[in-house]
Order: sequence, then C-alpha cells, then structure tokens
Amino acid sequence: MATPAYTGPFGKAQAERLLWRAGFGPRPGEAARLAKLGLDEAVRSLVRPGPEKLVGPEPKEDRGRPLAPVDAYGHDHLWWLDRMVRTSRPLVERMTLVWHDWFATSNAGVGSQRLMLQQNALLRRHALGSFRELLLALTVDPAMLLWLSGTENTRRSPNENYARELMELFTLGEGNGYTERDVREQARALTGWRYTWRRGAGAVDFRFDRERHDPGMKVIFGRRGTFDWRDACNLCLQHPRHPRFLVEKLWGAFVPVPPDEATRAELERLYRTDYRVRPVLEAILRHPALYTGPRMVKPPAVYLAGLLRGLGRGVDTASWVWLGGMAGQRLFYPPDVAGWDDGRWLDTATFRGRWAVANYALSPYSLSDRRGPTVPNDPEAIVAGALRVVGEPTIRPETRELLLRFARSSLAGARTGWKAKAYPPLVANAVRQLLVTSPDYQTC
Amino acid sequence: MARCCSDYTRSALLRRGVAEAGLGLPGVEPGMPLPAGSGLTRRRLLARSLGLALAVYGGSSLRPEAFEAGIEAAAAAGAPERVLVSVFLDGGADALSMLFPAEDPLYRSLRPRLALPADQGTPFAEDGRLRWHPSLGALATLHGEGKLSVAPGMGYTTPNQSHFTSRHFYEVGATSVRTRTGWLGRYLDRAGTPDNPLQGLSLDSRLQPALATAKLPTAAIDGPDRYDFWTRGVWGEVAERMLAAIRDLGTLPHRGDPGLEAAADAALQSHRLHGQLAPFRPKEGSTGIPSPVPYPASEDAFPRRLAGLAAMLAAGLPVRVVALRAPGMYDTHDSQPAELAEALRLTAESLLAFQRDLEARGLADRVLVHVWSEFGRRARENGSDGTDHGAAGIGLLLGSRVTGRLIGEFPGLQRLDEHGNLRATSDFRALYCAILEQWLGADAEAIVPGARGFQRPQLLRA
Amino acid sequence: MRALALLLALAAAGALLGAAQGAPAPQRMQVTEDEWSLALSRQRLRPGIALIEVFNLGQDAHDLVLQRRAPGARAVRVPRLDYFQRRTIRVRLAAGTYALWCSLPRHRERGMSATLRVR
Ligand SMILES: [Cu+2]
Repeated sequence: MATPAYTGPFGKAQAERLLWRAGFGPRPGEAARLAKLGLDEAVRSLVRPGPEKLVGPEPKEDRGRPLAPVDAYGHDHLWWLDRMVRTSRPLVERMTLVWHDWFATSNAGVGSQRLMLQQNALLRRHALGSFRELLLALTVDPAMLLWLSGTENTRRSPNENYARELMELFTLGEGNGYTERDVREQARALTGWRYTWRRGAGAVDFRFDRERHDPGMKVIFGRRGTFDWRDACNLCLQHPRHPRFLVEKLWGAFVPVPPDEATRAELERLYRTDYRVRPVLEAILRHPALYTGPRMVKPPAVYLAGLLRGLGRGVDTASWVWLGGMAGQRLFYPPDVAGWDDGRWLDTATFRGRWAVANYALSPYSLSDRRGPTVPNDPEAIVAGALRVVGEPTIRPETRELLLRFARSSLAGARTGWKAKAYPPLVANAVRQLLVTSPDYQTC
Repeated sequence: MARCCSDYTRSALLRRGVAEAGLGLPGVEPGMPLPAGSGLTRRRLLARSLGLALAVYGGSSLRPEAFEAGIEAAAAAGAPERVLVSVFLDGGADALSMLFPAEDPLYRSLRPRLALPADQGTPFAEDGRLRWHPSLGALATLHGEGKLSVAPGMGYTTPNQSHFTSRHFYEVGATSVRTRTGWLGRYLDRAGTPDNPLQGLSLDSRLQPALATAKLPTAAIDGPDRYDFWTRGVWGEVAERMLAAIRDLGTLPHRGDPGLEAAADAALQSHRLHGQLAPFRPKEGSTGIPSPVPYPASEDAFPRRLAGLAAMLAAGLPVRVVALRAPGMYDTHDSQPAELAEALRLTAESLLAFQRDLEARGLADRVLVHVWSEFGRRARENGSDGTDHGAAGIGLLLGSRVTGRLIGEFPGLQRLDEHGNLRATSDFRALYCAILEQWLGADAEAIVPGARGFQRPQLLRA
Repeated sequence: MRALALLLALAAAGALLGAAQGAPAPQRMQVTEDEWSLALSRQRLRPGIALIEVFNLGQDAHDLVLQRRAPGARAVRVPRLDYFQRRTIRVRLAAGTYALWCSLPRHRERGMSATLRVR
C-alpha cells in the first residue's frame, strides 16, 4: 500500500510548480533540467539534497558591507532571505520556513536576534528529520521559552501559555482531544526551566532547575504519572489524534485542498512509526494532487526569493526588510503564535506591497532610452524579453495575450517621432512589472 | 524613527507579541494589561483589505463584496449626523506646559529650568492664573471663538504611571487591565452595522485600540493619498495604461481555481481602491490632498491625515468614529522645551486647519474632536531638562458645537498628590459618558462600566 | 517610510566616511535597551573601527554613553532615543575595557549599564 504518484507528463511546467511549492522557484534553466530527471528523481533530489552549497553572490547591505545578522536590525531577515535565494537545498530551507510558521515565534517577544537565529538553526537542523526530535528541542529552545513564558512556568506559579499552544497549535489542534484540565496538568509537567540574567548580556544559561519543577502526580489525557517536559511532548505525540493533525497541516503547506481519506490514512501510517517527516514529504511531493490541483498563492518571502533567483540577483539591499513587512511577511516577526494566515496573503494592502517588492526587484534592470541596450519597438519582442529577464516562467496563453495587448496599444501611437525611441523602454519596464504581479506569477 | 513608516513601534510590537502569546513577554511590569483589540477573534485579527479600507478588523465572516455593499448602502442612507474624532498625544503630554500658571512662584520653584517666561503665550481667558504655551496660539484662537473646551485636570483615582497601563485604561474606558474592547469599539458594537467597516476608522497603518470592537468590523487606512503603484522607468500615458492593465489582470478568467481567483481579486480590488482614492491624491505638480484651506507643511502624516479625513467626510463616506495619533512624542524625559514646542505647534495648527477646512466645507457642525493623553507629567522637573510620568493631564474638546467652557478646574500646584503629581479635577470616564450621551446619543451605561457614578459635564451649546 | 530610509541613510553615511576602499568590513555590535537593562550582542570586540547599533526596546526614552576606563578617555554619546528608535554610530575602539550606560537620571543605577572588552 502506498500513496498514489502523479503519472501525467512531467515537463517544465510541472517541475516549476514543484520547485515553487517545495522551494523558492527555479533559477534560469533549472526547471527544464529537473523535468529531465523525471518525477521520482526530481522529488528525490529535493528530499535527499546532499550537503548545502550556496550559489551566487555573497549577500551585502546597500553600502556593500557584509550582513551582521545578530548585530544589526533587519539583517536577520536579510540573512535568511539570502539562504532562500542561494541554497542548493530548497526543500530544507522551505521546511525551515514551514516550521517557523508552525512554531511561530516572534522577536517582538524574544528581543534577541541571536536567540531567534539559534532557533532558526534548530528548525533547519530538523527540517526534514524527526518531528519528535524537533518538538523536544523546540520546547526548551531559549527563544521559545521566552516567547511562550516557559521560564515563567514554575511549580509555585504555573503558566499555561506553552502547554496550551503545544496542544492547540503544535500537535493536536484547537479543542481536539484535550481538556482545560489537560492544559493545567501539562503546564505543571513543563515547569522547571529558567535562565540567568547577566548584566550586559541579558538572559543566558537556559537550563532545567529541579527546584522549580513540580514533581508531583499529574493526570494527562487520562494517564497518571510524575510527568516532566519530555513526557509532556511524548504524550502529545502518542495522542491518537496527533498523526492526523500533523499530516493534514503538513499537507496543507504544499497542497491547497485536503487529502482524500486513503491518502491521509497512508500518510498517517508513514508518519506514525517513528515520527519521520521525510517519507511524508516525499509522498506529498509525488502525489497527483500537487500537480493536478488548483494553484496556491506564493508566500511573500517565497515570492521575493524566487523572483531574485529568476533574475539572478543576490541580496544587496536592506530595503527587503521593510518591503517584507509591507508585503505581509517580515521573517522572525510572525503576527502571533498561530503564524501567518496562509489563506489570506493577498489583499489590497499586501498586493500593493508585492507591487513595491517587484518594483524594487526589477529596478536594477530598468530600461531607459538614454542608456543600456536599445529596446525594439516590437510588442512580441518586449514580452519575450520580459519573460527572459525573470527566468522564463510559464504563464497562461491568455496572460501572455494580455501583456501583448498592453504593449501593442501602448506602442500604437509611438511609431514615429520622439515616442518611437522613448516609449519602448517604458513599455518594457511596465510589461515586466505586470508580468511578475500577474495572477500567474503570484501563484504556483 | 518617525511613526509614519514603521509597523514595528514598541507598542505595536507589544500589541502583537503580548497579545496573542498571552503573557509571552518577560514582564516589563507585572500585570501589564493585554491591549484592547488583541483577542477579538482569537488569533484571527482579520486584516483583510478591500474596497475603501486598507485593512478591516473585526470578527466578521462576510466576504469583501458584502463590506463594499455595506459601505455603499450606508453612504446612500446619508452620512452619519455626527462624527467623533479621537486624537491621542502619545507619551503623556505635559499639561503644566500646555496651560501654565505664569505667576505662581511654586511653578517657578518646581520648574526652575523649564518654567516658561511669564510674558509669553496668550492669557487663558477662563482662568487668570493660566497662559497658553507659546506654541499653542492656534488653540488660543479656537478658545477665543468658543470652539474649544478644556479639561485642565483630566484623570482618574489611583492613577497608574505606566504608559501602557494608563493608555490602556483610556482606550478601554475603564480602569481595568482585563478589558479587551475599546470604549468606542463597544459603542460601535451597539450602534454600528455588520457590513460597514468605515464606521470605525483608524487613520493609521493599524487598528487604534480605542476602536477595538467585539464583533463589528472597523477599518484602518494609513492615509488615502498614499495608495499608489509607482514603477521605476514607467510614466505618462504608459503608466496610465499600466494601471488599467492591473484591472485587466484581475479580470482574467480563473476557472474556479481559488489561488488564481485570490490573486485576481487582489489585483481587481487594488485597482478599484486606487480609483476610489483618486480624489484624495495630490494632483500632478502639487503636494497634499486637495483642500479648501492650507494645512501645515510637515513630514509627519498628521496634517495630511486630517486633510484626507475632511475630504472623506465631504465625499459622504459613512464614517462615525475616527482615531489617530498626534505628531510628536510627548514622553519628554529630557530636552522637553524644544521637542514639546515643536510637537504642540504642529498638532494645534493642524487641528485649527482641520476646523477651518470643515467650516469651509459646511461640515463643522457635524464633527467633534477629542484630544487626550495617557497622563500628565510630574510637577517637579527632573535633572535633565525634562519631566517624568505624572498623573492628571489635559483633555480638549474641539468643534463648532462645544460650550467652550472649562471641564473641571485647574488643579493648582498647592495640593499635589503623594507623588508630586497634579490631582484630577475631572474623570475621563465622565467625559466619555457625556460624549456618548450628548454627542453620539448612545446609552453610556451600556458602554462605560460604572457610568451611573460619574457626574457628566455639559459639553454642547444649548 | 521616508523617515526610515533617512535613518538608514544616516547610519550608512556615518559608516561611509572612513570606509577605505578594500578595507575589511568593520565589526558590528547591537546594544538593546530596556527598563532597566542593556544587552550587548557581543561581549568582546577587537581594537579598531566598530559600528554600534543602539536599539531602544523599552517604554521610555534612553540614551547611551560609551567610555573607555582610562584616565582622560573621551566619552562617546548617542543622543536620546524614543522607544523603538535605533541609531548606528561608528567608533574607533582602543584596547581596554569600556563602560556603557544610559545617562538619564537614575537609569544607570537601576541597571542600564554594561561592560565591553576590547582586545
Ligand atoms: Cu535610560
């Protein structure tokens, strides 16, 4: 018994979708190369990518200085964006983003880029590994302990913050198989973590302190024991409702419609044996629903990273920090512990944010009648040129037709006179902007 | 950094961070309240944008089209009779500088470096002891015309000196740290409609907590003139055509594909919004929103937000209550003289321009402006040309219909409280009750906890 | 947005002044301020040029003074920052121990101080 695999043609368009869903889109030519491998090998190359190589120019800020991820505001965001752009292991990076959204921790509550980046490294380390190991590590991760009051949870005054989210958001789902009493008892099990406040350095030396832990008897999900934080995690993982929650949520990160019954049951079986994520991912990425189902809106960070990959441009400006916020995804600052609302990336404010992102991304390539190559006064050539500059994305014929119509009508009155030379670059710039803000390019 | 641009002001961060994480921050102070508006629909602070509003807040499951229909229906039914505008002086404005007891020797001894010269500013007509801060000439003008009522000792019993806590009390209209809805939000929940987010308008990039409702939608709009689609290397008629092409992208067939549909809808709605906001955008070659009167020129968004608001009201948009922040930072722990003078001048001159704008447009009878701050400042100056957090502060009511008379008296420096702060001579909750009953025609007892116990001031001319 | 860009430009311009062609990138450090603490993103720097970003995460305004513990050492001052403001300064550090503190009244006593080692 296995989950079904996609058996239709696996061409450039399918490879493109796979690269956008499981990574950050193709570099120029990458989709065609992946398509040649065929579905099985293509998926294998993503889930077993080998050691990481960073490809492309080193990241820098506007004045050409290297990034200082722990020492300068916004450089955390730039640093990660660069990994997304240059990585040779897109699925690892994409899963790191999925886990960041899943265990959404915000530096708004942590107040330390260093601790946030430490957590980020942890997410990356476990990106395709064992959810059990990930959950255990994250439960006592310093940034998480600060964010969800783990270090304020003591035997004398239990704090239910982490206990509640552990079940509601991380492992079971809201109200799914636990009671308020379970929340209170879980909080007791999770007691005991603390840090030392060192002048000039802040919170350091996060550790378990037996004195703060409540060693008493607890009853969780109907089971009795003197549970501690490891038990708290394991009890959630062993909860009969956990596998379904996990596979559905994970599936939802790659496919916008729920899995059918049989697929879901099989994914649960794959997962349940030892909490490994890789086989589940492999099954999802081979599944027909990924290739034949509806399109998904690209998350803003994915959209930008992919645009830069397509352009062949590295991270070279700090503007991506505020533009990320404007488009609705400032990395390391999810809106709250439930993460970003992935069903609602696009509205009139974030559409304008993406427009600005696209404008900044395309800016260095902007054409002019005073410098650079001459742009032909030819709508076909202008549209083809726009597709080429962003790495030849596949678009629908009607979208291409719309861009052509726009170019034609804009150039109609510019056959002669000063407009004949001045207009083609304007039209080319506009076509590029429209192309990457089109529904085709916003989605994958 | 000016507040205009950053989503990440400290309070915004706290509002997002603490808000949903329960008590997620290491306590800046014990018992710090959860901000109003953070838990409306747990974790689903709906930031959906559409139609005229950039972001809509509130626990509604309506589709965007329903809001647009609602706005149109509300506008067609006639603009609301009366509009309330709430202006927040962020940081705790120094009441003792805004109206200063020029001749009081105690004032000179408490403020040896900061006391304003006794011959500066305009005398305050209602109390011979006081003069207006030299930067508040615009308020003196309004007061002279009977269009400004002053509460020189606004506050509450057992004052709290934390910015966040005291501000929270003012926002929710109660001295309770647990309340999660704003006092104006609760008003809207009773008086509003489920499909008109413009009824509660935050002129800011995000929800102002006083407007946090429990169920009905409200909207946030940073400024109606800033919604553009600028593109490098595209201008003139090509730029015009490009804008039209955004609409065309939005009307491409999506054949039931929800991803394509969402992207197309966003393009279409953005194009429509851009068109709807056209009247508020500066014309080619001019700056600022087209207004019948000049507003102060400033980098700060405040004057253009007020100008935009006047234009929106003139356009008949169904706006009921509005909240925004005044320019400047009033938390003047040091360098108070220069910073306060600049902030007060821009605030007062913008408010005067707004009043003149409304008068020119024939709207002045319909608008009441309420200016508040979370507290006043310590009577005694500190050692660094500043003042620390105090208790009673100043409140202002501005508009063509106000009585123009004092609300409570100047508390004076003779009887400071045990911390050396001014004592309150009027309660902000009493003022809220009066605004609700006398201006908005609402039942204050259903909105302000303990309303029965507050003595209402008379706000409006008979 | 404009103000943010201005701030970034100022920070960048400050750093550009002495940035010789091909010189190694200056070391950097972030100081976050809160009531009542200073936290340094690194406890130790090398002698030479450093870019120090001061970031006020507190409720109140704070400033920052940086001074080497040596007779006659000059103090470097970062003017007052309101909450969530930040500013980057460029300083030349000599070997030794530097004290950092907020100089607003009583802030240092309440805990807004730290030590930086340069060697
Ligand atoms: Cu300080």
